[in-house]
Amino acid sequence: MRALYRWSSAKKSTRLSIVAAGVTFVVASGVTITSAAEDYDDRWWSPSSNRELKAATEYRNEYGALRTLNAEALQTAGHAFFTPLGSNGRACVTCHQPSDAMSVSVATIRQRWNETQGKDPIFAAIDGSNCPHLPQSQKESHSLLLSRGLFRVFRPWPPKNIDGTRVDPQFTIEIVRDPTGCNTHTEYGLKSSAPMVSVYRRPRPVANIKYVTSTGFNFEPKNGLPLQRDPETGVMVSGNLLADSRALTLKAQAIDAATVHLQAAHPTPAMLQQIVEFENKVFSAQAKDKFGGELTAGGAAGGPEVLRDSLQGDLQYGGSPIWKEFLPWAKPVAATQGLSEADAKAQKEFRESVARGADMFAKRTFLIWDAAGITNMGFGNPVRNACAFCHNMQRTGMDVAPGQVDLGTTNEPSANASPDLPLFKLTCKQNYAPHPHYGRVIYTQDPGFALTTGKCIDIGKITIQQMRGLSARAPYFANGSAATLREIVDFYDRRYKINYSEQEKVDLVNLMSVL
Amino acid sequence: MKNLARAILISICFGGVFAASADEQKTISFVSCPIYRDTDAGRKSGCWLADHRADGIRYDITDSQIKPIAGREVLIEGIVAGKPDTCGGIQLLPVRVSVLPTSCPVFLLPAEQYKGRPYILPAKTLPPTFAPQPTIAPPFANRSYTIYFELNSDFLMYQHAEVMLDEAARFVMAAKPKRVVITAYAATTPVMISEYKIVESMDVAKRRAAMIVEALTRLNIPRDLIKVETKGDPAPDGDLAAAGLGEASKRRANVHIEL
Repeated sequence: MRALYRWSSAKKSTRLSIVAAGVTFVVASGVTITSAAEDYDDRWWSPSSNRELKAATEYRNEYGALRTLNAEALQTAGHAFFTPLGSNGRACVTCHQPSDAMSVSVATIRQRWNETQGKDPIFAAIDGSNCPHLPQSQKESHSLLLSRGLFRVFRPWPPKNIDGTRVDPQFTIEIVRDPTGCNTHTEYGLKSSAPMVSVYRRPRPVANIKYVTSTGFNFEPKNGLPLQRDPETGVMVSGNLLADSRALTLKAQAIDAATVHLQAAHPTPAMLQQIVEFENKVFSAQAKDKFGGELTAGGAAGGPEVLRDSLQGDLQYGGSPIWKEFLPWAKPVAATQGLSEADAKAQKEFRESVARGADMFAKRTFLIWDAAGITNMGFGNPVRNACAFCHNMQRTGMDVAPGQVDLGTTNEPSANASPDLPLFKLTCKQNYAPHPHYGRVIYTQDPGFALTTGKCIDIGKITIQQMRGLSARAPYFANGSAATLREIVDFYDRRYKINYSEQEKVDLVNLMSVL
Repeated sequence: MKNLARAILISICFGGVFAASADEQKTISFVSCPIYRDTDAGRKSGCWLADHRADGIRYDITDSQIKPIAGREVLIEGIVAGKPDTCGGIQLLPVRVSVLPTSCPVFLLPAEQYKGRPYILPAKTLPPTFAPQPTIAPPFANRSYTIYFELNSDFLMYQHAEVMLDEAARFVMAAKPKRVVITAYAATTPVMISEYKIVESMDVAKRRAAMIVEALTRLNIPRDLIKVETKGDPAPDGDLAAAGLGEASKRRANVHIEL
């Protein structure tokens, strides 16, 4: 029954109820699965705890087990990534947990609330609540973090360039809906003395970073210009850090995170060096699946080791399709030894499903519409292509170019209805070109990249993020609007009218679950 | 349906007539509403069509570097290619498409009996950054690069401008010239196409120049090496002019590298 679940969404509740009961059991792959609660103390990395981060650590999750690699064992005491640098008690590790693929899942956040009655620094008023002015002891004040895993990100208005100079925005911004009260607040809002736009986003994984910072080509085809350069080193940068690309380098991101999320003073050069060096050495990916077994078995090349050992930044193509790591499972391979006949059959079916999902991800084409960043740069609107059109970097599914694309997760009408999120009305000024797909007036839950560039064309663009470790870090999309892997597939199916069959949806979910 | 049949008939008849010799080239320019035909010969293989409103003929404009945006009118400038009909229209090649600000109905056709054409990667593309970067060896001589634009646009076209500018920058690094002269043009003399006045302002030339300066400086070409000129009403020039698309060739910029 369990083995069949992954081929039938109708069995979801059955599967979840097994996990919730805290029952320990051994399934097809031979991976021992326990409830999250049983290994909770080992999972959570508190700031200032003196622990050893081993060279390789496995953490169980709903789908199997994640493995996080560090270049060498590390004592966390005094390490800048694991130490509170500011006033609110948070460290980088607070929101970038090794068990959660170096992000933090909403399940983990809820667990922290229950364990600490909301006292954990992760719930800090500055951004761990819907708005700092709300009563911090009340759960409702942290509803976006607890329901969607969203932290408040507040951007200056008008936007500022990297060097701090003012950007003259091509659009005006009005608040249509403000359920958190932050955008209309006298101290934190758009009309405060230091005008801010508050949006709510998931923390991105701080793992497999060499892929995130790699450049595939030296031009950014979406705007036609060569890539930007690190102002300090002069080296071209990927443009793939952060949802809105507000920081170009790991160092700049660390400064932004420390001074905003950790409420710290500017970190010292030594701290920054320690943080950046650590981030560049961490790799994390799903390593085992409940049904598929070891993700390196049967000719597959899943898990974090291949990420650590492979070239970054290379583009997938027909002769070398993305997720080819799992295509060997399309052919009959020997089952894990010692499995019952039924479990061996389930393993075979699961592996074949993953291989089909990988093949489909690269090859199953559909019409992509109104996705600024893709459909306005010469490819045409619509353009027929596959998932791999945008998710084109080998081994991570990122974009090898700076990946700012409007997927429709935040812009109306394609964004999911979200009464809990703010809604903004952006109007492109008459002396600038209107948005190629939406016209002059755009309603959005998060202006995304436009909060960095001030450009109409960038409204609602969110940087494509890596697809590794998904099983450990739900919910998904920058605004947490997909609670499950299935909801990701369903969103795209709706957005682009793909008409996936039920089997195709399951195959894609199974693929994503092993990344 | 009548138009479609007519277009197919003309396409079949003209297949052997327009054998692409320079003398027989037929340049077509018109404004229309683009039609997307959802053929599937692999990624990026959908067909783009447009009806010439004055004569009712449907043309295949798929091979334009810049593809249309459904729901926005387009300016089409092309040469009848004399090739088999794979999309449901007379194929134009070369063909240039400029997306206009005016809206029109979104219209999609199913593939029907058409297979479309598989996408073909251009012969010259950027090298990936992890691969050995091409070098330019002496002897060196003055060089020019011509970069074309859409009507009223300063957008540096993917797989066209980037290839030119990347190579230009490599040449500058290798040859260490006296100066780099950017001459950006705007087609300031109006022409009437399909009752539309097609014209650019000098501001467009300035924006084109600014984009190229920005691109070259991002490629580490010193700003003080670059001289910028903007001009209106240029004569046709370059590959597009040689191919018979003289009006489209006016929307360009030249990067001239003087040793």
